[in-house]
Amino acid sequence: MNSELLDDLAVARLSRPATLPGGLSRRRFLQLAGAGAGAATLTPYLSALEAFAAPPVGANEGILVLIMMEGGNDGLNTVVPTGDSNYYALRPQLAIPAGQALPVGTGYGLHPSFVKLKARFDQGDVAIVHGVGYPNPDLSHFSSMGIWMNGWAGGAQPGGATGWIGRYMDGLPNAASESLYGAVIGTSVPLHMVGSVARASGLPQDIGGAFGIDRRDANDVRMFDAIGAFSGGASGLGQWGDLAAKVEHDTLDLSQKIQPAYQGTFPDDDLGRQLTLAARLINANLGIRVFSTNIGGFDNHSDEAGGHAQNLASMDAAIEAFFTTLGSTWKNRVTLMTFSEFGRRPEQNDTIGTDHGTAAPLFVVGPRVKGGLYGAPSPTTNLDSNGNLKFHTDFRQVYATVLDTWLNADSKQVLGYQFPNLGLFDGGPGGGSTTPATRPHRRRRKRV
Amino acid sequence: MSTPAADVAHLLRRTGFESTSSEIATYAAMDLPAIVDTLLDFSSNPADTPPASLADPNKGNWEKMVDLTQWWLDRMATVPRPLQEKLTLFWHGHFCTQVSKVDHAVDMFDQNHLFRTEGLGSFETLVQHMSLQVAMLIYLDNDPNSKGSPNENFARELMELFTLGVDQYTQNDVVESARAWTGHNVDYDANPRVYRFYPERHDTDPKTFMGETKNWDGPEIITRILTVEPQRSIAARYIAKKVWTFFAAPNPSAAILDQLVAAFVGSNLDIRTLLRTMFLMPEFYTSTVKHGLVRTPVEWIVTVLKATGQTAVDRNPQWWMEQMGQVLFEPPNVAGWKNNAYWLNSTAVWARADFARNLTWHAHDAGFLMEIIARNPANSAQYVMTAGDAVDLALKKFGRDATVAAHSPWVHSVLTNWLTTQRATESAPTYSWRDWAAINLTTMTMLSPDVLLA
Repeated sequence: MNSELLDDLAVARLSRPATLPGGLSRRRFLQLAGAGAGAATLTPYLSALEAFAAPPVGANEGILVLIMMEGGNDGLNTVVPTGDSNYYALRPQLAIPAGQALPVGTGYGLHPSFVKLKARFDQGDVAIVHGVGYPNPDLSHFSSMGIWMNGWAGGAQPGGATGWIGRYMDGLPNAASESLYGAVIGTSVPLHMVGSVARASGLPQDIGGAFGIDRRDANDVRMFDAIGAFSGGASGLGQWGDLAAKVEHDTLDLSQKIQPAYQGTFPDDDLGRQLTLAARLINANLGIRVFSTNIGGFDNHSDEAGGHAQNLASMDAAIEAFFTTLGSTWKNRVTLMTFSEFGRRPEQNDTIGTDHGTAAPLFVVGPRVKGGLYGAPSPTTNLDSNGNLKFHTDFRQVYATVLDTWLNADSKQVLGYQFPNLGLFDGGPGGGSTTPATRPHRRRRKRV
Repeated sequence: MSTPAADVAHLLRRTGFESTSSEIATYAAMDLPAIVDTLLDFSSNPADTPPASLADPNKGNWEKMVDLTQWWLDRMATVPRPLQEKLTLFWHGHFCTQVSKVDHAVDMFDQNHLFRTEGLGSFETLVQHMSLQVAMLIYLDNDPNSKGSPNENFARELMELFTLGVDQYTQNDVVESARAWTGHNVDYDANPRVYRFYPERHDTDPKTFMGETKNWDGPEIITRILTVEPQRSIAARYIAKKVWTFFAAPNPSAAILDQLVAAFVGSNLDIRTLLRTMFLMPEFYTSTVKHGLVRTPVEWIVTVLKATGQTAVDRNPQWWMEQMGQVLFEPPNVAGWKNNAYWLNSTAVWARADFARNLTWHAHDAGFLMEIIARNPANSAQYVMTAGDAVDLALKKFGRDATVAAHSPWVHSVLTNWLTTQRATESAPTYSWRDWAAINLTTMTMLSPDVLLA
């Protein structure tokens, strides 16, 4: 029985409804603490739950925006080894002609769709990390994406599977009670955004018709305010009654806070919309530290050329839209990073596509990035026994670099192992030195 | 003999989805054991004939699943003894499978049917039959489990999630159990595919399971776990805890579990005995339990559909369920859904509010709660009902009869103040083409803590 999953199904199985941490997506990560009934005592997260908010991002604090490329992005056609004759031999119909690739250094060029990204590379704002992967590569979408999302390198994980950004958020002040340290657009929070106590919030795709948004009619306003007032006194129905009321109140609050970000026009495509929203929400300084977005369609087993080109063009436009929407005061505090569950096989298949592979390059983009090529490229002449590229940079080394230098975290604690820094940044966020400036230790209580 | 109405209302909410005041009154005249035995008697429930589309080769699986989901929600809302459906929902969240992997609606229905028809009998029989259904064989990868390439997934979850809980067995037990389950596969050549035992794929060599060496076969593993101590009592406690957590409240005390286990083991793991014992315990009627659970999205949806006289077929709640966090036939993973806090988050609130609003318009079209806008014929400046009485009525329609059941006095006062203000904006005798008081009170009641709690 073929249990291979389509890329969007795979990601769906690695996501959970935008609720509390602790759920697990597969037996491999399943480790239940206590009986499987699911803890329901009022955790610190809930008893101290503030309005859906987070302390505002400081002048020297970094924000990370992730782009998850679902399906396994074909690295070889993304950062094209234009000087590699073997690449052209393996892909007679699929290789990107050297003349079409956009040069990013000797022997390499970006896929022609990446016009804007190439311009940023020339400005020194794009780090291309070659050959990113991990040992004993798993060619299953589900398993490999789980590995990338989990990012733990410290052996058995007590308390069950969490994601690397989730664990980063766990270390932030009042992690258990702040729900906007991390955000995704949509109803499912992917595993990498789920920690032991912290988790990202799912914000809506569209807020137009959302309950509580439109306050133009007096009847609606009276209703919204009355619902908000349910939490104004003890419910008399115990802690769950109180919390149910509070969550409704806070959601109505949140909808007002994020409403401005949803006004105006958006790009037509999904990633464009997500990234434009992300930029606007960052501008609103709601305290979001990490934003995760996603774009599907990279599982190009057949007729790869057209679909891949279109996907990368969407990405290019969306990334451009992101940076142009981002307010100027945020420029030096935002870095964007791509990732995918694996690359693809060097040799094209019979249907002018590619099958699941292993290592691939990824991009780290932003004004504070030290642009250039990093890591060692995976040669197409030295493949593994499956005919796949060998990795050279463990993906967790990229995470460690971002965690330590950009997010001012302790990567050893978040990842369970000390990975060496790749030196991807000019310095810390905000133009400061690499030694991080102070983080706010006192939460400013925001109550609207 | 009679039973306090507040306890009756609570019991009806937990064994069903929403209760009317007349139901409460009828049962309150009976003593508790008689009530419980009545609620546990499913014989008046109609047979669960699945929607016709399941047998239609021209329908895609997605369409079938929509039909199946709506069918089940409407069944929950309409059968005379909804405890049967609640119990089916409980087993569905315990013996988890996901249609995204099983892929065929008919296999999901077969499992659903098993939970419904055998969910109240012998726990061992239920586990035995569940293990050999196509849905579970596929979901936990026993379908290719064969001699020479054993797959441990089912063998492990059978113990870890379905019967004993973590750490009550060794890794070796898992390995040996997996061998015992080889050959119990799916025949994909049959149409529809069915369970089939392939002797040639079955490992007949000796296996040592829980210290005993013999040529174990899969079903014997189940019998061993559930009939021999100490595993039998461990299983009884594990299941009793899940049952109490689902119907009563999380974190039952050791004393509560001891009582439940004694009854469950004493009856050879008879599920009906376990439930009956639970519903008769005084602890079930404490405020810890009465305030102990947030309604799952499924329960909330069924409650509001039932209260407003709407059907799932007409209102398509499945469009909102993913955002609420609960999709029938698609638990998030093999461990099932968690509870309480799991359902309270901004995304779910938006989904519930949106569905409540949608439902409100249709309910309004049918005249729901319009009593509250009626004016006094002798003096059109006055309303027939006071604001407080109007709010009482709204709560009562959603199963929170303020005179007999615990409701929230604070919420009542907020709604009453709101209605008073709302009424003041609508000047008599002008007919308001949009009867906002009735419409908005409907929505607000659906979203009140009273109705959000189980």
